[in-house]
Amino acid sequence: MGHRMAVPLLIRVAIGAALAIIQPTATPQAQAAGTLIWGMPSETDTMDPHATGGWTTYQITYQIFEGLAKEDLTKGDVPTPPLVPGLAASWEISPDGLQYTFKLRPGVTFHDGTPFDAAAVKFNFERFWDKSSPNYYPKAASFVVAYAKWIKGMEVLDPMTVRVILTAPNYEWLRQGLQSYGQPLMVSPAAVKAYGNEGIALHPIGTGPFRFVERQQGVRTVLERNPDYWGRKAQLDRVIFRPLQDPATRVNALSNGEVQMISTPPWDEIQGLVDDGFKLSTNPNVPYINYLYLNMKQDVFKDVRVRRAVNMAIDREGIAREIYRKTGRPEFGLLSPGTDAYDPGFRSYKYDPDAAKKLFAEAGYPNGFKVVFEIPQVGTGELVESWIQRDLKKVGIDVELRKFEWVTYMGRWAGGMGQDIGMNEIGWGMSTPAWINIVARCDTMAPDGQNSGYYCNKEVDALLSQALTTRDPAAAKALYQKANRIIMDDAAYVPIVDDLQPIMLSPKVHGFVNPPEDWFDLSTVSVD
Amino acid sequence: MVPPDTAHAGVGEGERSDGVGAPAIPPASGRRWRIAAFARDRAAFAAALFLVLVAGAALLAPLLSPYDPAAADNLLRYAPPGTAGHLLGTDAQGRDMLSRLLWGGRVSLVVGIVPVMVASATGLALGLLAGTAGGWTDQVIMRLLDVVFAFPMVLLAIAIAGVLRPGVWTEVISITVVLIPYVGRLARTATLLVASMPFIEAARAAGATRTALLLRYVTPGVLPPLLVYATTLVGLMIVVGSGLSFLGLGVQPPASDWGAMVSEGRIVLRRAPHATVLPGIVIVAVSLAFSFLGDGLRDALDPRSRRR
Amino acid sequence: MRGFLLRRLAALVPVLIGVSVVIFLLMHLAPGDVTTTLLGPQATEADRVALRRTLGLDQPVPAQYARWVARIAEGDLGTSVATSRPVAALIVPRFLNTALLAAASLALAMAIGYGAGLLAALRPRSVLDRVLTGVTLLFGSTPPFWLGLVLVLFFALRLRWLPVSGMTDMAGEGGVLDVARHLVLPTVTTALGPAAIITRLVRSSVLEAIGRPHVRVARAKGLGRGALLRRHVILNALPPIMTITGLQLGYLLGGALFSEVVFAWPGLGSLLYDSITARDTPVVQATTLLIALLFVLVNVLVDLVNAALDPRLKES
Repeated sequence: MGHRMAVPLLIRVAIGAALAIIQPTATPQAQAAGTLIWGMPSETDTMDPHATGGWTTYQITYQIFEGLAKEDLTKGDVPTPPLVPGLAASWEISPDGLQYTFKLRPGVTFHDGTPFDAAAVKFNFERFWDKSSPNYYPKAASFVVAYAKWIKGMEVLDPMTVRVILTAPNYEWLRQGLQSYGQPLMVSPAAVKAYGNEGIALHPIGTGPFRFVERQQGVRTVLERNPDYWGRKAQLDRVIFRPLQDPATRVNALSNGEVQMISTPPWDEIQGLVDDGFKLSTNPNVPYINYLYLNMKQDVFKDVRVRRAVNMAIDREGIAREIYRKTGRPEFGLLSPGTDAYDPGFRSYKYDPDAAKKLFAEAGYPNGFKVVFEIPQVGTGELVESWIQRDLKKVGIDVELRKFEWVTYMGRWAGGMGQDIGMNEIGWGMSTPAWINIVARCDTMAPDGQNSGYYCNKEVDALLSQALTTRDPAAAKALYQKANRIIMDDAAYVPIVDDLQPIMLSPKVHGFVNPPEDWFDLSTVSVD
Repeated sequence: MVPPDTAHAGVGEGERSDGVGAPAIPPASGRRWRIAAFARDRAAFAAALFLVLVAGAALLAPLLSPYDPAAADNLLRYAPPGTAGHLLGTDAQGRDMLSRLLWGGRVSLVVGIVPVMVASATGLALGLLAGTAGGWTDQVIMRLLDVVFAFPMVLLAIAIAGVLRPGVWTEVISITVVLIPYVGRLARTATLLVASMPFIEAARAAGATRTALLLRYVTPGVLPPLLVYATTLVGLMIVVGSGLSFLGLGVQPPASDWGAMVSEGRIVLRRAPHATVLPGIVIVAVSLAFSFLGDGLRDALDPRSRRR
Repeated sequence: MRGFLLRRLAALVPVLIGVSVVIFLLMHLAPGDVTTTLLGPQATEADRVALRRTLGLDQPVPAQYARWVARIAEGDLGTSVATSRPVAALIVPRFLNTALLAAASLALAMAIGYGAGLLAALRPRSVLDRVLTGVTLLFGSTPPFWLGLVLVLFFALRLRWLPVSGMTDMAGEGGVLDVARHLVLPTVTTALGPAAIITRLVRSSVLEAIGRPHVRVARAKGLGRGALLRRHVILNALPPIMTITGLQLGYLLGGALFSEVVFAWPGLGSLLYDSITARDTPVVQATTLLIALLFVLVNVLVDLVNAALDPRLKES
């Protein structure tokens, strides 16, 4: 692994001479000063922050656009990115939790030179929320819905002050906005007027530390430093985002100096790249979890002993160690380490196949049973799923894996498991513990929500509702942790690992921070 | 996924030219002589023998495999060939390569052979019909084949997998449908050529019925180029099929197939070359064997092109 | 000749209508829709329903198709649902990239195929014949996604002669030489399959032409070997060779997906694949139609060339 054969000097000289003829300009590895090229596993859909749902898009739009509040992604070692003033210099929440008054940051201009003020904020809210406005853009409203559905009214108090009125108190609202599919970031009203609503997809004009240069779909998206940024200016001259779908291509492009950063490197290549001098960046506080749903409507899984036994039969430590290769950590609950309610000491079920076998026998399945496990095609060769299949086989359970193409799978997952399906899986989460509301409440049972296995416990629901309206963070945290423990006592889910979000960097890259989020702040990065 | 390179190795319709090789004089007599000719073609004979061995090994996989192909030793990942107990080493999950190659043959041979056979039979029938009937029948068939030609295989497979369930048959059906237009075109061109030959006129003058003409005189002349073409496709379809199963549209894990082994293993090509090279060699060897077999069969069917 | 051309071009219309209808149906038969990919896992069914309404996907399939046809009739390929960009703006650059790779690959495949095929046919069943046909077949049947990677490991990572991915050096100046360097490995990977097919066909066509009665007559008359080849053999063998070459070009213009993915070459194949997996119907429709159109046109062109080469091949 990783040993590149040394080419004898003489041949090198000959090659150098040949190269000089082939290419009289610079060597292929030479980079312009301060350019970061990032090889990403997929292409982004659009650059309009109001009309996108993809993490890959946020990785680009975070550099260009800002919201009233923003997550500070320059800290890697915090459990949750601190919520800091963005385009609002400060805000006040009324005692009943219904009114948010934002003092806007003075002296900020969009990349097109137009000023940022209350009129611009109003325009943006109209675009993604106000059906009665001529500026309303239904597509944006469909995406920003998780944020916008809480809004009852919005008013301009003075040119630099706006107030938003909510329909009900929700102390995670600001953060939820930044976790939503469409994000309520501030787009230049002049740009929307000049290019049209659809035109923002290719003319993203915001206020952020980088501004847009060009985009060739499927080839690259180029940003450059915004010299007029209101905050700490970016160090890089340019950032180039390149879609490189094939994992082997990402690794090779990094090795050959064609990119300086790759996301989702293949697990088994990480050590080899480190041996070659590349840097591995991980984050222990990632906001998402890879976990299985158990179908509570299936007879076998109606018995809590069976669900607990499944939890005990799977060797999470082994998966994290052997497959994730130090880029994953065993997970025992639904509160990810990227939320402020993470419960680090909590170990719901230890790996104990013998105890699992006993529990299965007690539940009336001494000879095991058959179960169908639906999984998506994600390109890792089902390493984890095959491992789970083998672990369950050891305790007498026959798992039939059924793999589906991604969009097909998403439909089946979001639609809820059919009667013949026993388990399915997903890896996701949010920086807010309120995420459990989406996954585990009675009223979010599929297809109305993401409770794909139909888990329902009124006690959990009550705790979660209470947490949402609790203003004291410590009290809310206690409520979430209690809910989490009940859910795991019910063993309705099988958490497997936290993916530590490995990023491989060229040794020339400095200042990269891997924050507890799926997107990064590239303004701190520099490249030699 | 678009059809593989050689999937286009047909001969275009609309012009009358020789197909692959020569659709030649096809007397129905002398079959024994042809078998003898085939047996004398050492390359083809060796290829046939090799393929029989491969197919036999796949069939007997349950008896021959040293391990359960899904069983894994987590501490023995990427063990190189020659490791004690694992003649050909282990893969990314510590599963025995030899066992997975043996079992993988069952899937890969089905995905390689069945679509090619079914598409060849269908394409032959359509091509014969279009080539002999002419006129509107010809036009309609060929334009329909043009339409089928444009189907992207992945979309077809997604739709089929949505109606049925993903599995080896999703692959087989999608690949078959996509192949039909190619074989159809080739068959039609060969049919036109054979039908214009003097001996067909002679047979007709001698009072042969239309059906007899088609079956006894035209079809044997169309077969040689078709055989060469079809046998070239087998290896390619093994690779294409693995692309579909990789996407979750085909064979379900932990079942193995050769193409999937190549594509999974190639990510660690530097670290553990055997994981991808061994199945790659098997695919190439089987592809070559089918091509040699095709050449041999054509030569045996076509006395004019036998060795001089 | 003009009548033939008109007939073939007129036949394009029903073919393209047929293609678009079937693709539309297949897209609707495929489970899931674009709202699933666009909204991501957070979305609730209500959110998806709302977006579907916004995008007009809640209407009956025939109505959606009619709306699409009406736009096409006005020359508007529509807007990509996933990227909010005009379909034409997405397809045109991809097509140009594909055309470049296709042209380079075809040129290489022709050079290998014609050369090796002819040499093999002139010495049938000799060692040279066996080696040439064997080697081209060997490379032609190597899985392209694997072959591409081996070439990368050797020529890019070990020798450092050539780049790994893309069409240009992203941080460099670009230019023709830069593109040419990026073109080498994808071209080789893409060309080897077609080269094997062309080799096989050239060999068998030339062999067949040599065996024809009038060639034997000409040889008996004492015509020189070179003249014999030029005037009789090659001319007679050309039509099927043209046909197979045209078919290879038609295929290459549809995009060589494996090479595109391994080398991050932004062509039509990966655009089509991405839009299928994203359920971006307008892009899938337009790309498929373009590929169908290109293929039929290439075939018509080949037929015209063949008719010019050999008047007997004119359609009666």
